[in-house]
Amino acid sequence: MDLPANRAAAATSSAAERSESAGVFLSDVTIAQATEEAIRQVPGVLDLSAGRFVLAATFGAGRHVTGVVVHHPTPDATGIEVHAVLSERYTRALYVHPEDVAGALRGQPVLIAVAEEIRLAVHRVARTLRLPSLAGVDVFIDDLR
Amino acid sequence: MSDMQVESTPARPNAAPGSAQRSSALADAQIVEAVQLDSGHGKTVIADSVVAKIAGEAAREIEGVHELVPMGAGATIAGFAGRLARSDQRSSGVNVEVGQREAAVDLNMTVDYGVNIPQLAEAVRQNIMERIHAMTGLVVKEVNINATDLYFPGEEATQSRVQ
Repeated sequence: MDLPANRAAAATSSAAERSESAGVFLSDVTIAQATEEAIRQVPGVLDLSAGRFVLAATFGAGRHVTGVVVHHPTPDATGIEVHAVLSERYTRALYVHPEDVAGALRGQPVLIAVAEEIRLAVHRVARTLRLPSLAGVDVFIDDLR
Repeated sequence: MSDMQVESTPARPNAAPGSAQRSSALADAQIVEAVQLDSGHGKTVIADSVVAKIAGEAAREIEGVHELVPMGAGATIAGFAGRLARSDQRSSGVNVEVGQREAAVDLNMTVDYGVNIPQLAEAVRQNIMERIHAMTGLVVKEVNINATDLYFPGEEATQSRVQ
């Protein structure tokens, strides 16, 4: 009955053996895709960027996610790198109305506050996906448009 | 469903970062020339071009600044060639040098005729320093302003006289 599911899991497991958790195999590109969706919901994020020096992307079978790099600093840890383009209008509005910055981040420089929101969003995704060990989330603000 | 649950907990991720992470971030800082802030849960990098754009916008806001002009041949002669190569094309007229905590800004602008240029420059300087600090947390150590030309509002009319 559940044979097809097993087969599907087996097909992706070779690429994803490192992100195993609770018997579910997560490929890097799946993590990247979930991360991308979450980041796009963060206010002030206009787009993801391909990076400034080298293409910042995560590759998988038949697809890739630009702007999110899932890497493994150690074999059992996962690190996520996010390259974002922020909205100039939004950051300016936050600068004019600093009271709109959410509680704990108030008083932080505007771009740092937005970067922190991005970081929190990624951590939320990691918890939802039950990612075993998230080593760190590096946020790159590559442009302001 | 589980999304909602996670969403409702505003708690920040564990505040117990590995110190190994910090040292790797420091090593990276020498490669990527941009603002780097290690929050303990990963670093935040703000690209130079972002700082340059903020500076450019802050300068343009000041009344009396006509426009920012790209640093051209004159700048090369003045010996800025090395820095020019690093600058971003889109934020023309602004050069920034960004370190871990501090920044320096060079600016080329034309000025409306009739304004007091030292006063204008001071206003531009203050606006840039305040804005960059509020946006990125960087302390701006210096803003070098180059008033390269005057703009005369009646200029077009004068030129049309000679056809």
